[in-house]
Amino acid sequence: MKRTIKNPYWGNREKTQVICEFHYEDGPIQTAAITDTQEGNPDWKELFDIFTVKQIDDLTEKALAEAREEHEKRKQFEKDDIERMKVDALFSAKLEAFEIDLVKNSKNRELKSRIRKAKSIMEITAFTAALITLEYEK
Amino acid sequence: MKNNGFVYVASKYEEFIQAARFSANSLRDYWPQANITLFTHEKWVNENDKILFNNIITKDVPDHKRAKLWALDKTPYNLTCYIDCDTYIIHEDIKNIFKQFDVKSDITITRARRYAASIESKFKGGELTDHCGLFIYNNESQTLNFMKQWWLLYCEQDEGKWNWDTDLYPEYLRQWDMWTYWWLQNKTEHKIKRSYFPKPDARWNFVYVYDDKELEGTDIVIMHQPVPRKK
Repeated sequence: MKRTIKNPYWGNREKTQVICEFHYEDGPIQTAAITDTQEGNPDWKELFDIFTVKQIDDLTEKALAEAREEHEKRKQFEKDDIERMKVDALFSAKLEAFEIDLVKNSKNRELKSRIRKAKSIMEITAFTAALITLEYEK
Repeated sequence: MKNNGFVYVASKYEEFIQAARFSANSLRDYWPQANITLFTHEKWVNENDKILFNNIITKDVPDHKRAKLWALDKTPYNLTCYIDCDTYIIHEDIKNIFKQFDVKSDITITRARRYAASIESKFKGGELTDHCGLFIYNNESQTLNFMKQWWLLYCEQDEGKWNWDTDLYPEYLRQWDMWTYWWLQNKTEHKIKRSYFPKPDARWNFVYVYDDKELEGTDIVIMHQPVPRKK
């Protein structure tokens, strides 16, 4: 079946292997690794009839840059997820603090505001405890 | 009804009524006399809510993720500040919020920040520039009609009955009411006059991922952060 070779890049530092795509006439695309052989690999010959070493160098650099970008994105997504979980946990704790009647109904605006603005669970706990203590002392 | 007031809408998920109470409680702390209306479901209302909110509407409130849009044209106020439940007030300047309304317009809103958006807000056919989580609007007939159209079109959008040129306006916009708002404002005869909160507008609707520089040295009045949903 007729096919064309596309998107080649080096598969190793020694440049003895090329990873590329075989695009077949009826649609399928297959990823292939090509190396030369003692007898002479016709795929290898065909590849270098179409592409120069410089072109494969450039495509390799491009593929590496894309892989690096993808990796960075994935890392950022994971970081964002963790951040989001922390923010969610913090907000949930604030909501829970305000489900306590003594907190909710308190007129102590200063401490209530500190609970709302708290940056950690520990701060929420501390200010909530302080507020409840003050309410009991009334 | 009173001249102006705040509207909260809590529907579909119970986390929202909890968040609305949290937000309204902070509002009361800084402005005890504020008029606050809550649209929600009867089954979620407790005795404390009747003290916290001075007007609770439950009749016909749809069990819908965007019940907010249904409620907007039913506001009891001449001037309404719609405020998302996932907010809280941290500054006494909240008492001045209605003074930020530009009387030459129908709606005063804050700008959305592209860097802080959940989705890519810029696309081939335009850009979502207005943050629909907090805004002040009047009760002129064209404004209330806009709010009604917003709800009706969003329902069509959500149910897949309204389709658009996805080359210009990506399909990922479908779940967002900001998209419906953008369309009504830019592509229909229902559009209303819009103005922005004076700079730094971010202090009136400070989304938790905003850069502090947005405040230009002023204090945050309203903090905005998403309600964590129980799994």
